[in-house]
Amino acid sequence: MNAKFILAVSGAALLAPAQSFAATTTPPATSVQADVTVVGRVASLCVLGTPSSPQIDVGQMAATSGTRVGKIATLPAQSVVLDGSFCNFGGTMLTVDATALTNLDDGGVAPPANFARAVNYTATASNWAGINAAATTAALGDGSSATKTGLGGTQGTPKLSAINLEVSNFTVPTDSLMVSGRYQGAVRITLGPAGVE
Amino acid sequence: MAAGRATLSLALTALALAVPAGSAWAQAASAKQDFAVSGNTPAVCTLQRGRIQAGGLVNIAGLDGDTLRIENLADRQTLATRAASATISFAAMCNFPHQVRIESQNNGLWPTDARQAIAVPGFATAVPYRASLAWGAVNGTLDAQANVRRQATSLTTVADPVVGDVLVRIEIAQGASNTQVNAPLVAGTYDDTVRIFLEPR
Amino acid sequence: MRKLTAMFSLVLALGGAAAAQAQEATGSTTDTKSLSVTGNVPAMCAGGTITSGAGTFPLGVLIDTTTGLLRTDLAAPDKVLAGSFCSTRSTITIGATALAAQNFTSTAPSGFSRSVDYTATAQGWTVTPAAYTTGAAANAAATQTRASAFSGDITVHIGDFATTGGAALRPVADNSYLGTVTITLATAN
Repeated sequence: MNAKFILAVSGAALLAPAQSFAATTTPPATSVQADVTVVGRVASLCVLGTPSSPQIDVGQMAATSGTRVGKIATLPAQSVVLDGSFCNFGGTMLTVDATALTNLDDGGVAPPANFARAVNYTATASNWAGINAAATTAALGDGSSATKTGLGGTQGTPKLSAINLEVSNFTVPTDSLMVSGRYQGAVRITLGPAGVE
Repeated sequence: MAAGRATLSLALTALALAVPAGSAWAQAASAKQDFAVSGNTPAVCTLQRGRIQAGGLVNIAGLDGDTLRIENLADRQTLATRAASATISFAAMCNFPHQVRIESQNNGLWPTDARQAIAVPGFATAVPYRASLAWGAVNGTLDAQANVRRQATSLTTVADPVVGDVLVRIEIAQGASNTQVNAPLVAGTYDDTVRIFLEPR
Repeated sequence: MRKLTAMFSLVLALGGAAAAQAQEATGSTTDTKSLSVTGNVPAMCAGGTITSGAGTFPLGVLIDTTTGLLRTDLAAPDKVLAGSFCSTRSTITIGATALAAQNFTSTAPSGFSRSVDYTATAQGWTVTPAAYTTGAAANAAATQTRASAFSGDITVHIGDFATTGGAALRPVADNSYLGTVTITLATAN
């Protein structure tokens, strides 16, 4: 935010001294006036709060026994809070870009038949506008087409809020068996003017 | 104005933090499946036809199928019994502990014509003999004494499975008789049937 | 005159203030944060289910009852382990024990044997089937490697039966001859 002082000086005050030397019929002024107008400007700003956790670790993802051994287990949803997020102008929205988890240890090669190397999920950013921003990844078994974007509704007025980011609904393409190894994906959350990508 | 300045702890190099704390990865690191293979071997004995051995043949015409023919049972002049002997071998096998039984149907060589069996003073009417058996590690003996015409049996236990030849040696002693030694034999045909059994105990 | 002087100094001061303000940081209308989402899948193998009957190869009577020698036509239907998988590179190992008489446990007498050897194979997991022959001096083909994760059916077959000690020997009588075939799938590094 900037504050500037703009000094507007009326021409009359500058010329006043010159006028005081002339001997005229005008009587001397008993009071004089000078105007100063003060104007300040505040910029439009959106700031996301620091996430309550820098990373979401889902842990071990595959069932190790039972009828679903080797396939994705039922994983609980997890949330991260970005406390103290705000925009000081109206007409803003949340955008969520979710990238599916893909295998880090398999060299990126296509998985064998009946296996997949990607995990899809839904990322939901809420507590901003009436409609949440949500994206459900739709990666294929080989890890391609991993990213999806979701736009939230427009928040009409300035707002200060704790934005909630939840990842949930973990699935594997065609419910295949999972190639072993470490998996990684990412969620990017953006807060800014509505209608601007 | 103060809130806008809380500039950014930006996101983290995910890679460095992605290594999970060692989880129980060894839970199902290997899987094993056993299959049983089953079968059974039933208790079985086999006994082939007898074959006459070349050695130890005395006064024998030959083995005709199952019939051992004695050349001359009686001496032409004295009508006393002439010695005769032969060894017959039967290829055999029992795959379980068993017993071997020798059975003489008549307990001696008796006339085939029943009329000859009537005792005639001074004459022999039946011929005793000995049947000896060797089978694996066991030996058995049956003395067909020709005193009473009946079935005679000798039983020997065999503790192990045996494969090989059952050797049966038939020996008729010189002058053998069911009365005195060297008694003259009444004329006619004399016979007996010796049976060999390999069977469960 | 005083006023003039005052005005000039104000102008100077204004210029200074503006310069100072230009050095302050400014925010923007858009802010972005990224978080990583991580997880892991353990290296593991699961053996699948036996689809054909129970887990026994029933050979029945082992001998030709007219000779007492081992039958030359011994056979049992193959067994299939369906839906076996390993989530990473793996090895398959097959092991087997000879068919041995369970009741006749003493040394077999001359001319007899109390066990029957055979060859067991596991097909479908690796290009070269894993194979094990009981009584063989070495079984180099017993362990085979699959370079990547795999899911599939394993077919287990037994054959090439031979009386231990030689074909001329006869199996001793026993109503129970028993052997075991073992298939192991293990993760490999």
